[in-house]
Amino acid sequence: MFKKIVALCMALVLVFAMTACAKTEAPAPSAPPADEPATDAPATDEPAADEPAADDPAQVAIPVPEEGASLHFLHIYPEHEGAINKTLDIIKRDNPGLEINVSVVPWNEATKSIQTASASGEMYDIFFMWSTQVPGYNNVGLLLDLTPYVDDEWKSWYISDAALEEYSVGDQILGMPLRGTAVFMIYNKTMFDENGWAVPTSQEELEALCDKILEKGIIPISAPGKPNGFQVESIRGRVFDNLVYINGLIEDPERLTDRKTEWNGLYAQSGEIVKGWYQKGYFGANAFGLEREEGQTLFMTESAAMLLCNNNELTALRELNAAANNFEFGSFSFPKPAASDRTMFTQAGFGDGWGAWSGTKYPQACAAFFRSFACKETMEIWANEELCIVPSAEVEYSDPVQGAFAAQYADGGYKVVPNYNSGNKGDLTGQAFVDYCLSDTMTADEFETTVEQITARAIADAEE
Amino acid sequence: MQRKPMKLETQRKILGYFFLIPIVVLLVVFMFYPIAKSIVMSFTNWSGMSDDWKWIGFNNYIRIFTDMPEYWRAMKVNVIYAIIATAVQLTLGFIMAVMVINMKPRWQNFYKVALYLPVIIPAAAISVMWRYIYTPEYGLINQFLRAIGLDSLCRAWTADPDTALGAVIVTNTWRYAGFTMVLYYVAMLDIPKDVLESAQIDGANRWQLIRYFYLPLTRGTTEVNLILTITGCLRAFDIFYLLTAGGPGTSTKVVSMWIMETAFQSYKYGRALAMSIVLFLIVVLTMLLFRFILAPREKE
Repeated sequence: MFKKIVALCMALVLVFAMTACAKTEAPAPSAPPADEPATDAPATDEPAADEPAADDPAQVAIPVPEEGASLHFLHIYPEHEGAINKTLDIIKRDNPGLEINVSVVPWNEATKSIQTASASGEMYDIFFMWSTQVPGYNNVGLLLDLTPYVDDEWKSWYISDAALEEYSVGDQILGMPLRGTAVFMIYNKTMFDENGWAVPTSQEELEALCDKILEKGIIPISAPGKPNGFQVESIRGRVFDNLVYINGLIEDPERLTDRKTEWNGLYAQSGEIVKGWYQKGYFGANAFGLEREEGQTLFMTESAAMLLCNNNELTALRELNAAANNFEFGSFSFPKPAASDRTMFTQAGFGDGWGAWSGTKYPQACAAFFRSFACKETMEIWANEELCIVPSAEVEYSDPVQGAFAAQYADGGYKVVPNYNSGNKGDLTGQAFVDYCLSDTMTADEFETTVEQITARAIADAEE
Repeated sequence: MQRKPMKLETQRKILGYFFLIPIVVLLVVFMFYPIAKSIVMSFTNWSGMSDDWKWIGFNNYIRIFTDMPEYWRAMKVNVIYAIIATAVQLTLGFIMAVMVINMKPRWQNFYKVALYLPVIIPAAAISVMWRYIYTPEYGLINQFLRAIGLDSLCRAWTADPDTALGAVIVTNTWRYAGFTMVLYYVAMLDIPKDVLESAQIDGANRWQLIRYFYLPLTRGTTEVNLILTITGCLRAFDIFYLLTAGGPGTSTKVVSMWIMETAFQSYKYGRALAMSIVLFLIVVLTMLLFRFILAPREKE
């Protein structure tokens, strides 16, 4: 009898514990209807002061509610802390009553932090996201629709329509671009001058140059390929883009939305070209074992003549070079094939950006935050103090290399922007390419088929 | 009517159960409930981003078994890794334990600490250290090979699909062989000294001592080591993630990495949970299989 009573007590404790852990009844944030912004503000019969009025010209200023607003802001830029602080000061100056609590995580923890915060209901009001995450986040109702707040004046600040389109699904603007991310080539100008090497103007010239550099026992291009092929896959992407352009598919709607699953040999061709380069040693034997920093080291120690890097690495490279003061460097965009009449720069886009939570108490304050963030004064800080390529049409770059590079972003319209949650499709494609590069048995056609299957499955997954 | 005083034994029992409550609550909250919830949610299309989900029955499991070749390719990597790493780690651990136990006490203390040290070093530090060792241009291994004239053997150890998994196994063995060694060492301390001395007086050599005394008398420890190592290898993540990031290509991509990508990149938390449950079942079945294989011998 006694044992039964004790067992019953223990069972009650277990049930109590289970109940304590069970889901609460608090409503989960959900996607707002397309025609109205999300808000968790108390519902009243009167329109709330914080409600936007799409047809009200006064919304241009986007006032912060009189009682003030407190936003929780998540970013991933400890290395740009100065710029973040200056930006927040400007935002607070322009929006009296706005309080901003800042959280910072490493870039590779951002998604997990957002996922955890969202699942727990303690979500950040404004958070970092990549443009590729927009469809996925939108699918799960995470993103505040900013369309009613973004007027024509605001839109005119951007370098091209494509900058906002990257953060849109259909007609809805669901996020804001911060800075551009694209690859370009930096070269050791001192080494080039000493050896009489000229900057290549075509893909064929680049190949000839790499052969010459190899003869000197130097790795021609430091292209870190870890993880998932990284910059080597990026080179394949550039070669592929040029092939796509030459074959007249650059404006194919299926391509632009990343839904094309029939490539008729273009993937195979691009893979074959870059695999050939890898096998010749253009990227060194260890390309697929190099991470970004290791790739930079290879270039900075003059073991490699060129470095394929992200434009956002420019600051770190300039600092490294200034400290070592060992050589001068220049830059050029990855060259087009001789058969093409223009250089395609379709990977250039504003991949780093911001989203606002659909369940925020202060949707209008979030919009005010974004508007101040996008203004010329703020963008100039990011462009000229942090050497970022910003989406602003009004900014003038003090660094000529960067300025020339930024000019190419005006062509961003050809960038592939998936209109579905493509998940880890990019990683899988990169892995397939590395498998192909390192395989003695896998053919280029098999590589293409694998990529087509990856795309088809990603689309099916997203629509499941 | 006067109440009978409670027996001392009953009082003790109540007190015992009372003391059990905190741990039971902790187990329920942090172990049983999450496991139960994971099993339940593996039958849903939960994105992990909100409370919105719907039942989809066995769809996630059907997908894993019918249309997820990458999951099973990764499982193959896990299995190969588990088999080789376990064999190497147990052999090395055992040999090191035999060597240490036959040393003078002060050397025993030194080697016990020195060999156990890698176990307590964080995986991140270990992976950084080994990445430098494996680096083709200035890594220790290639420099050593060049120094002794074996340039032809120099490789990009973690960037070559033929050697990447081996590189992870070596790193993992370096990290955990000390742990295996300590378990064997403790078991060997229990072997009566007079038995070993008698055997030596009767003419048993070092190999015969190992073959007829150390090996059979540490069988229980072998079982524990085997189960710990194999299950650890099947669940492996950190060292792969930090050392090779699953590459080159997919050559060292393990199941845990796919689970992470499914959950955090594709926002298919329900499916990731199903993948975890399948992995969990495989680990449990492997454990039971080894217990079944080794248990009868224990009784003999």
